[in-house]
Amino acid sequence: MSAHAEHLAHEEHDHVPVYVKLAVLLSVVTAMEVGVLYIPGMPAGIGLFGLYSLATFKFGLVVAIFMHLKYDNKLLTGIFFSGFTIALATMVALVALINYQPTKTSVDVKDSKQLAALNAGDPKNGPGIFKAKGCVACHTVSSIPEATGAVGPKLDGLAARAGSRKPGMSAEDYIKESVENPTAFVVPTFSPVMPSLRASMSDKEFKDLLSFLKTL
Amino acid sequence: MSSAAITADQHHDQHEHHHVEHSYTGLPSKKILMWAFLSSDCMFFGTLISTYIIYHGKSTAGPYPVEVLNIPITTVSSFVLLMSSLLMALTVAAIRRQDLNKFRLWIFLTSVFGMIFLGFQSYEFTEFVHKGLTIQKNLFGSTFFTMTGTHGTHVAMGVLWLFSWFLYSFFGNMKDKATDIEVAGLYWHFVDIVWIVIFTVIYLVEFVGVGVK
Repeated sequence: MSAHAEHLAHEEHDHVPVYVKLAVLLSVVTAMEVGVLYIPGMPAGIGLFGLYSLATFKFGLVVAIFMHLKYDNKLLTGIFFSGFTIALATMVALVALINYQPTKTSVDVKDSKQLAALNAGDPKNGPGIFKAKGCVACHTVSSIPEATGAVGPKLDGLAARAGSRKPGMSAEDYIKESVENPTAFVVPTFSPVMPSLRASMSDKEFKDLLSFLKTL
Repeated sequence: MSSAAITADQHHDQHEHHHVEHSYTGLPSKKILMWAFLSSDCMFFGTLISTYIIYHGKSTAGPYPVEVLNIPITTVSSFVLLMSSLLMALTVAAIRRQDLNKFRLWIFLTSVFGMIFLGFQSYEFTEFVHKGLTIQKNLFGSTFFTMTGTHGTHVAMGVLWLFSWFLYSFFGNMKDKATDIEVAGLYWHFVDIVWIVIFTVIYLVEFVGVGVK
């Protein structure tokens, strides 16, 4: 064996206990990371700081010891961290640009419950919109005195029958379609004369109206 | 062995380090190239991870991350990948000592651990699809599967690479291959550090302040 290879072999032999200790340390840190999630009442800010710090610590240890940058020529460290720095800086800039615009209007939805709350309209505003958009001229609804029209179907009990109008379509989707695209399905014995009023309503008004119709 | 063969062997050993091509920096070219590749791969994963972060919370349909991510299972698979890094470091140490038996044992176990990680990932992806999360379903699905799928592909390439060296060690000469194994090891450790980041940013951070159910 050459002196060079002997030197390498000797050096490697010394490193093995270091590798084993490092693996134990990495396991402990991973357990701590997961443990952070199970601490009741942990403030989010401290939790995030802890998690990012521990991940950085693990990242650094693997790069320095398993990947040998600590013992190797510094040129390699330079090559790796030049790309790494560009990547990290680009990530920070991108995320900051998209997430922190002064005109930010988009919402942040964490789970399905929040989404449902966001999509739910207020049925209390329904009757007002029902009158303002002229629906009362053609439809009868007993809870609205002005609604006495007979050109279109009477809407009392709509929620109960909406689900069985079109096979495979939920009550919610059927009601939505009936307002957005009235001629897609016309109740037998009635004429396809209802205009699409969706464009005349704001998204909020539309949601409120639908949530009201679902209560009929 | 004939005396001529011994002489040839000694000659080979004396000039062992000449078989590895060194650049003017004194470093093996393969090693410099691998570090340059890993440096560029940081940017590749950087774009995938930032895309995930940017679209986080912007899905207009479920399932959402808190509804599908499984922390206990992912903790186990992360641990497996972390330990495969130890096995990889032992592999490199063994080939440098020219301890072929240990080398074969460690490199075989490293690839097995890589395959266990991939098994966990297949299980996770299947579970997600059963829960209604596909790559087309919503922004979470698209960004999540693209990112973790790219990482899984990296792991799969690594498993093939390491397992090829395991097989080669039975038929080929491993004498001057320490640098090649070290380079494969760098790639393997890199895949591990990318997962350290993904595990934190995508899995753990999601449950901060919410708690794991």
